[in-house]
Amino acid sequence: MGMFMQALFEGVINGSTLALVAMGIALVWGVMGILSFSQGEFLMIAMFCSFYLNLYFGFDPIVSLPFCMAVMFVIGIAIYKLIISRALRGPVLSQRLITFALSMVLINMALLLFSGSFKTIPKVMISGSIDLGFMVLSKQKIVPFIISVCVAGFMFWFLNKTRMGKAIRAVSMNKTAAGLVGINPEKTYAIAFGLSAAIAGAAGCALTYFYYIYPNVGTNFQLFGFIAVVMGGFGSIPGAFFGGLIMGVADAYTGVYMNPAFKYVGICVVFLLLVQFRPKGLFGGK
Amino acid sequence: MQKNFLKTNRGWFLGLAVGVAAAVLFPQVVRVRFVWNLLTLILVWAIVGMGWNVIGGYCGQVSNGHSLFYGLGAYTVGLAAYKFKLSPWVSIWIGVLISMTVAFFVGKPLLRLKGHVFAISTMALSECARIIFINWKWGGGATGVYIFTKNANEWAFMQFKNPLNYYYLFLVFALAVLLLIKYLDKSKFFYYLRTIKGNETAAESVGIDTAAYKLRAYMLSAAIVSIGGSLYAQFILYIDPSMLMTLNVSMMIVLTAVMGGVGTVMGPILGAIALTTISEYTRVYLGRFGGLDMVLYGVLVIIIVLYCPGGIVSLLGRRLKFGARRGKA
Repeated sequence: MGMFMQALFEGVINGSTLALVAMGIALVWGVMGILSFSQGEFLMIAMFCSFYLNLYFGFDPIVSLPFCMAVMFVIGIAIYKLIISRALRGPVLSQRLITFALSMVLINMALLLFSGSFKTIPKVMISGSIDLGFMVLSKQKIVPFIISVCVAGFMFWFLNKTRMGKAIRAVSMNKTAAGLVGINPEKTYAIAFGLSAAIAGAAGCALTYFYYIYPNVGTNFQLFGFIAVVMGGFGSIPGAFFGGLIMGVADAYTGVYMNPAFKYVGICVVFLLLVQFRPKGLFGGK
Repeated sequence: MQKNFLKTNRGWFLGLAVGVAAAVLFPQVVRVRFVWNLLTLILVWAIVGMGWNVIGGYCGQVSNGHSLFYGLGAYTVGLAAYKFKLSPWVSIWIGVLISMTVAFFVGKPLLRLKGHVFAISTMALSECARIIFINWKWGGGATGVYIFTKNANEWAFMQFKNPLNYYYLFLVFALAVLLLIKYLDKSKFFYYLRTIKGNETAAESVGIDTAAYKLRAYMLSAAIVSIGGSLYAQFILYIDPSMLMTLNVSMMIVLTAVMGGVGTVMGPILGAIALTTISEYTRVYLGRFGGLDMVLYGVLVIIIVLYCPGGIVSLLGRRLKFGARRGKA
């Protein structure tokens, strides 16, 4: 029982990061139809941002979170303006390759600037653990989870209640029709891309609470993020969030109850089976 | 099927003859070992790119997991030589058979998926394969296997001291694959594939068994990519899952075809020339600045793909324009 609950806890923690990455991917996928390979790298950049803010100014990741998100939002919009908006005019395949090449550039740029060594933030504000007798909850891991839930909640609120969010959803449904009723699709795309980068930034910033920081960190989350998005249903943002959580939990359980080496295989097999029987994903309608 | 294959393509064959003559003579003129290795790698990538082009380019089913077949080909050759002392001349074809069998079994369920979901599924599949191979003790695990056979006959075991021999041998393989693709290019089979790419529902409604043809294309492309993998393993005489089966390799395979021109005969070859040259030269000149070479490489890839979505083929004059326009994914 203790093991079961402990694995559930760890799974939900890892899943919450995955959920944020997946939400970013789902946003870009749903709005622009691009499979974004650079989402994991946005996470990585935010992690380094948070690390250096801590190193030079002593900011705790919680404090630097809004700053990291803002930086990532700006970087996201810059990348959209510079590359993605041009790529959107081309075929789908080259869009995918461009985001992949972009991720390669970002990883190696980080390698060049920050070196490949593993870094951690030595001292964080909230640490220690809660011992419940049958399981131990590390406070350091609860913080990222809470941040993830808050950011996800904010995103749901933003997309459902604000004008801009509604515009994003309208454009994702039908670009031409949205343009006809006076929404500027170009601007909406830019903001959606910036938001997806900012979400990844929040995830990365939260992740520095207990995770190593190194240039390739994003690739670990990339494929699982994709899988989570498909599990949740194409481009559905709440679906992606829950897909991410499920992925995290499934990851933890296969790691505990099966050979840890094969846990990725377990997840991939489950995913391939799921896609066969529910090609629209777990929460996809129709 | 095509009675006048030679006759109708006279111009093309003339060009090919000139190209082959140039390819044969070039390394004799430029006697630099680095260039020889570069040329050999170009041939490997050209074969792999042509293989991917069958399913991804002509049929429009963009697989992002072809490193699976690349790795299978390399592993079959490597383990056959290392464990059973089997000559690659035989094991290449065993690798082709294995790849086609795997493609047959996974292709059936996977090819029902469309668009991004198909791409993600193929990615997940090759990721699975990579992890299985990493944990496969008998097959060398994560450390990989050196497949050099001691005291073996050079030609019988395809292990040459002279790098030029690799080049000429691979040139024969690449030429064979190129002729096969050129022959199929105007065949019913490939027209069916193009129809499927254009509109699957329409293809079905005119009586094309889309599932069967997609599966055939997938198997053919797996077979060709597997040959490429086998040759690569034979060239560097070392196999290891993190080198052969990563997402990077899958994406390079796609890039080779896309950069040259999707769904064209010559596209993957031009793409391989451009891509391999860029990657090898940046690696040599900038590799010591940890990562700078890959930054430049990535930036160049972005620029080329961004400003030339039809591939290099589309730049080469009007005559090839038709093929390039069709090649847009």
